[in-house]
Amino acid sequence: MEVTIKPDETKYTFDKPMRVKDLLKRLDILPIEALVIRDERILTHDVRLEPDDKVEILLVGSRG
Amino acid sequence: MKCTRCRKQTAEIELPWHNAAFCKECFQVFFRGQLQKAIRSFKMFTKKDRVLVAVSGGKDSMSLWHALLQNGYNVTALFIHLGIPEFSDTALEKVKGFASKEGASLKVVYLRNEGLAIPDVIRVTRRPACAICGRLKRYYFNRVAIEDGFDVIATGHNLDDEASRLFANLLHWKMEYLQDQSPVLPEENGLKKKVKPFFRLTEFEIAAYAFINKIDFFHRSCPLSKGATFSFYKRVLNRIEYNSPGTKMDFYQGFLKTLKPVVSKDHADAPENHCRICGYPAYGDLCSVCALKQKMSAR
Repeated sequence: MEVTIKPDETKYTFDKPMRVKDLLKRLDILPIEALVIRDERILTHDVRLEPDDKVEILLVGSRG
Repeated sequence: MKCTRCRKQTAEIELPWHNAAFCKECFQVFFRGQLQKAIRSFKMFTKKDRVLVAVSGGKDSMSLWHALLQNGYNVTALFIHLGIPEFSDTALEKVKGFASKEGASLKVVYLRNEGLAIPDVIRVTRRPACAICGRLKRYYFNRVAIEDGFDVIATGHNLDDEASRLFANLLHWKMEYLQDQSPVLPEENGLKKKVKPFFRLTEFEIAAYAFINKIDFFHRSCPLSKGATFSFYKRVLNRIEYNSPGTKMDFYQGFLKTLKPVVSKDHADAPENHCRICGYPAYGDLCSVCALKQKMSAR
């Protein structure tokens, strides 16, 4: 799974499937601090991500 | 997970603090409801009023501009070009792009034309960038609102902004700031009425609104605002919110209902004079901005 954190464009790769909630936990991001997006849709935290998914994590905090 | 409102569509936006999860369409209804509740409950403005929206190009102000236009309010945006190389031009491009796409009214003030480009002012005064920038923005929002006959100034401050500001003010017992913390500041002493229509909405909700509505906003942080204290306080409050959903809203609403009414406004520190050049409230002969202009032009 290819994960891109925006706006910094930091990239991660994960081989195993996991839920959105678990992905955020691995990246130390609180669920209320990011939108998780796949195929132009925002995902809830129970959604399972597959190894061939491309996922964007959009950090929502105001940046000054 | 199904939408808790329509119970038909797949939910996309999960809001534990409202014990809800919405599909795209129902989220728009929820968002509009929160905005209208804020505007009406605090009598911020009506559709007859001319509203000046302060925009920076970021998600909050751009979403506010979009939401007020969508809801039929009489809105003009004001962008203050801070004169920060590359950053200010890119932000302005986003703002102009939105205005063009939506056919929306936009005004721009260039601080460089006023002799007050932020990098120059910091160099001369050696004051923190955020303090100077905030003061200049407030001044020009007010000045444009008065000169162009607007009824009210609206900013994109959200629940996270307000809760973190309250947290900071309480931690340091800044009573003078607590007195002024409100979703509405009435018109007084040469200052136009100011409102925060997004005070019921979180950064998460506003980011979701911007994404769903394809609002092209500016993501970059200001290069001069590194290490701002409020960002740290927001992170602390988010930790608490994560463990106990709804705490942020309770914290801020509780302040408005219980503490705010007893923290009476003390006018002892309010400026008594008005600037002889521009008429802005002042402690002496000149307001702080006109005094700064003189200092900058004397270099």
